[in-house]
Amino acid sequence: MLLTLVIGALMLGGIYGLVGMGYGLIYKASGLMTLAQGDMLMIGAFLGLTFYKTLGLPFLVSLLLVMVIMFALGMFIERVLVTSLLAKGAQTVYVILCTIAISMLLQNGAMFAWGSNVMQFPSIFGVSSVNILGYEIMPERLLALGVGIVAMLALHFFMQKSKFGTSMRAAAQDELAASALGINVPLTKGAAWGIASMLAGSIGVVVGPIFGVYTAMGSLIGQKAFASAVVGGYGNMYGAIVGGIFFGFVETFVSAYVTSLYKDFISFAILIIVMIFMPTGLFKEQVME
Amino acid sequence: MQTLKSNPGAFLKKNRYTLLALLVVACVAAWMLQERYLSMILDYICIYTIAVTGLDILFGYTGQVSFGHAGFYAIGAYTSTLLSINLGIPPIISILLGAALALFFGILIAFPASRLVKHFLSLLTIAFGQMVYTYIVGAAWLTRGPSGITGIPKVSLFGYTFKGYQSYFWLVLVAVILVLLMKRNIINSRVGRAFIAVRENPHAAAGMGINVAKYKIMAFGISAFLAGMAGAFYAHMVGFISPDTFTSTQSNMFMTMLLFGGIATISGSLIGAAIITVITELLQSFASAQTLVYAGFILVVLFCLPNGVVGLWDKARTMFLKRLGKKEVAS
Amino acid sequence: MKKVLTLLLTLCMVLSLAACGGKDAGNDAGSSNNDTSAPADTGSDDASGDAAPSGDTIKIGLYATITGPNALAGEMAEKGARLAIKEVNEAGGVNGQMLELVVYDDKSTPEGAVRAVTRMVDVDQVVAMVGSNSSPNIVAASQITEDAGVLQIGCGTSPSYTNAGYQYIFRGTANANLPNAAFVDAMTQMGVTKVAILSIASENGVSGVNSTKELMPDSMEIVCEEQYQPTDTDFTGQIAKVIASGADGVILYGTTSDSALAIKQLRSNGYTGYIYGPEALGVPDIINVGGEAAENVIFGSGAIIPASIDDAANDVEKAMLTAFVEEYGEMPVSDVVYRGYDSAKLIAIALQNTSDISDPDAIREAVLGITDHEGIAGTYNFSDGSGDGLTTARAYIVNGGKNVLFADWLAENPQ
Repeated sequence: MLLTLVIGALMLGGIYGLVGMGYGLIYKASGLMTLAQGDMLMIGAFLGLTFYKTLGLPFLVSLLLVMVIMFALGMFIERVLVTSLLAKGAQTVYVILCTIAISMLLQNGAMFAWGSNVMQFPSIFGVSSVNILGYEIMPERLLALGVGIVAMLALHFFMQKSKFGTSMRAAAQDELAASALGINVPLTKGAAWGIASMLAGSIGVVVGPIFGVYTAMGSLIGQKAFASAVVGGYGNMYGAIVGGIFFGFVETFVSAYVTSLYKDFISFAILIIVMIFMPTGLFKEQVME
Repeated sequence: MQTLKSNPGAFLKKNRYTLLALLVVACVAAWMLQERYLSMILDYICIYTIAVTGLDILFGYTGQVSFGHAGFYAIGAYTSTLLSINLGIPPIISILLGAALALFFGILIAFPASRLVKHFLSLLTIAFGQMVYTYIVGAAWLTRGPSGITGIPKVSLFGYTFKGYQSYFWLVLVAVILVLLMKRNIINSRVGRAFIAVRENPHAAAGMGINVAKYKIMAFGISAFLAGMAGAFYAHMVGFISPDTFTSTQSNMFMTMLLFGGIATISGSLIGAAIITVITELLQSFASAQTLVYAGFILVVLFCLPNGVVGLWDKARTMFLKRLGKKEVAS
Repeated sequence: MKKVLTLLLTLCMVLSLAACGGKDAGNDAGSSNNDTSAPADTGSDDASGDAAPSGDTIKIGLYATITGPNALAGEMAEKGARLAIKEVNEAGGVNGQMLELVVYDDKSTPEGAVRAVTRMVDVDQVVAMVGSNSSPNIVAASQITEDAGVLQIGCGTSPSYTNAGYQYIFRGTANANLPNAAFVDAMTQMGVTKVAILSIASENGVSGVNSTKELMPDSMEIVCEEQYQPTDTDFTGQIAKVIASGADGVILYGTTSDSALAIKQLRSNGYTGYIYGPEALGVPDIINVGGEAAENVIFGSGAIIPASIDDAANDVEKAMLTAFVEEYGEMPVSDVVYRGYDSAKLIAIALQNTSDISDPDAIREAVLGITDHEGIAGTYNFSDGSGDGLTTARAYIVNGGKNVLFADWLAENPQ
């Protein structure tokens, strides 16, 4: 039972953390907040389902296609919607209202495109469980865990080693100085939104086989992911992963050993206690205001 | 300004547009009161206005965001309901007690909240809303869980029972007027100026000797009180409550109404509540597409009026006055 | 301060003057008469006064969860009712008058239901309505239809709104007690002694589990009871507990979408035994989504969506499914479609047999007079006045990717 729980918690935590990293990226690059990350996950899952099941493409190809499309979608939202909204002189809080509306559009758009049924994502491996040390574990869970680790490492090297990653970090630290140095700041902002939705979308594809694919699948994950990002220290990408895993463990173990009915009550109460003692999260992060 | 007070003619002239707007509102409301269904819409507008006004004091004036106001709304509704059903307390008093308990929770949550900013605060309020929701679902011995509570008594005052939607409107209208008056008085007082100072720059405010934490907690308390009162009014109007009403969707709706109407204005909360409520009813004819149309509508309005409907009103009035001014000069 | 007061006073005066001027006498009494009018007060009665149909058509209402988390069920209820109304109209309507269906979304909240029902009663002035597939929404709106004397035939299964003393509320499907009794009976026959319950923390789950517990014989012991929230996607913790409890039968009480998820996760975590539950486990989706995992799921239900039209349980069902496929081009995906269809048909029959459709009590009498209507979910008989029309439900098992009658399966595979 313990190993199952640990793997379940790690997987759940990884999902929360990766989606949460998106919130952090967006905030660090543009100082804005989105409420549509969960729905990006849902759109990614539906697109993945379409490519993999309906069009019969190989899983990896579907995943890559989804990542490209989601990147473009995230970029579109920032470059076209958010930027022009801010250019019209709207206060930054109105961006939140804008993302609430986008979230509704995505959910209902998905309902029209794919229906309100829960759709089945066919099993990727053809076996429903593998036996590890005498425990039954769903292979898709291990895949989700693997994709999570790969995504995190890739993002780490991209941000730290690549030229564009460095300019993104520079732009996030000081917009004016960065643009004086010839960094295309609007592009880095758009890319941050793009990467955020790409992360959420690819997670959607790997959790589809585990959770099923339906229009409301992202709403609670989005909320928990936001919680993870904040607990980890908003804007700190490693913090989001730690926060996510923290949440995954609290949730899974509380429902297994304490109470499933008050699970959310307890995990949010723990969260509030953490915030009382660490009002800036586990890892403090300087961000653009 | 001071002399205007004693001069009714000048007062009328200065406020003619506001008066005109009120007259139009009154006529529309009067027409709506003839139908029970339309009166119900009016009642909802009034109740939402109270809650959104609370949110405005917190968010619009003090700059503290909240995505958990459904929690206070729920506390008010459930407290008032349980007190009036189980202990037989007259609803008019239990509504105030419900609001008072919401106030208590508001202050309680404000202690950690006053130290947090932006996203940390959003998360705290989301967490609070979720905790309240989970509690009312789970604590079936008290709240009857997801099945909800039926048979909530109607409000009576001096032997008269506000039974139908038409008569209830007068009750909530009085409440809305009192709330808006209170808001105006708070905003124009020392406290209100302190709120705005805290919003604009907490560090500078602290430097000027304003106790930032105190005013943040105060704003939270007032805001929670109003949300709780709105919840209690809602419970006694519909006569049935269940956890489904108090989800994060409701919190987001309050936020949408506030942002839509325009923050940090007296009439913004009323305008936002009215437009969003009416729009959701009108959209019924779109059946399953209604949320799509609703979201599209918000986006379009957002792009045309980036600072809420009140922003448009101000713009229109300035333009109108300008043109009028020119004419007067010309003649 | 003075300014504000003046403004507000003006507002109040204008408002009350205009309101009084525009209102008819009945309403006026409501708002200005302070002491004499106790029960027959205000608004609610003026709507029932003239519920006579406008023109040649009779308006029938329907409210369901068209949007929100249960959008699929709401859509099914609407499609079923539309089909029924169309058939009635094609057969000449009700005593020569055509029926017109007015549909509203209750947004899956009680508040939405109250608004929708008030609108149907006051604005559209329907004579009867098909109630929501969400039982708490029916309870929330009950006072409005009771006051106005508008017949409501509900699609929700929760026991809560029948046997509750309502005059004008009936049910157009099986009371959840019936499918519950059917699957508890199957559990007894399977020799289950230790039961684990996994249920959704919503009205449907809570009332369902309570009713199931009452039906359980003493030989069964509940070894584990777990709940999950409607928005949850991961049940690892709960399921680990269920499996660790060593139960020889698991009751899964949820709605369609989360049940499919829970079945899948139960299986992938290593539970291989039988899973029992209500009609939510009987929709084709469970087999589609759950795939192999859905094998050995046993559920109670009034009626199920068969794999194909030819597998229909009776002629009424076959005819309805044929018409449905013709109309919408595909098979329905949930048994809620039967609820909408049966409810609308029952309303049509009641109106047909009513002497005066403007008299609520005559309509009620006509519903009580329905004693042998062959609906899809069974034979309706409302004569006992409880509001429930059905008395039986059957147990089914998912076997070989198909829903099979439990009794037939047990005969072939004795335990």
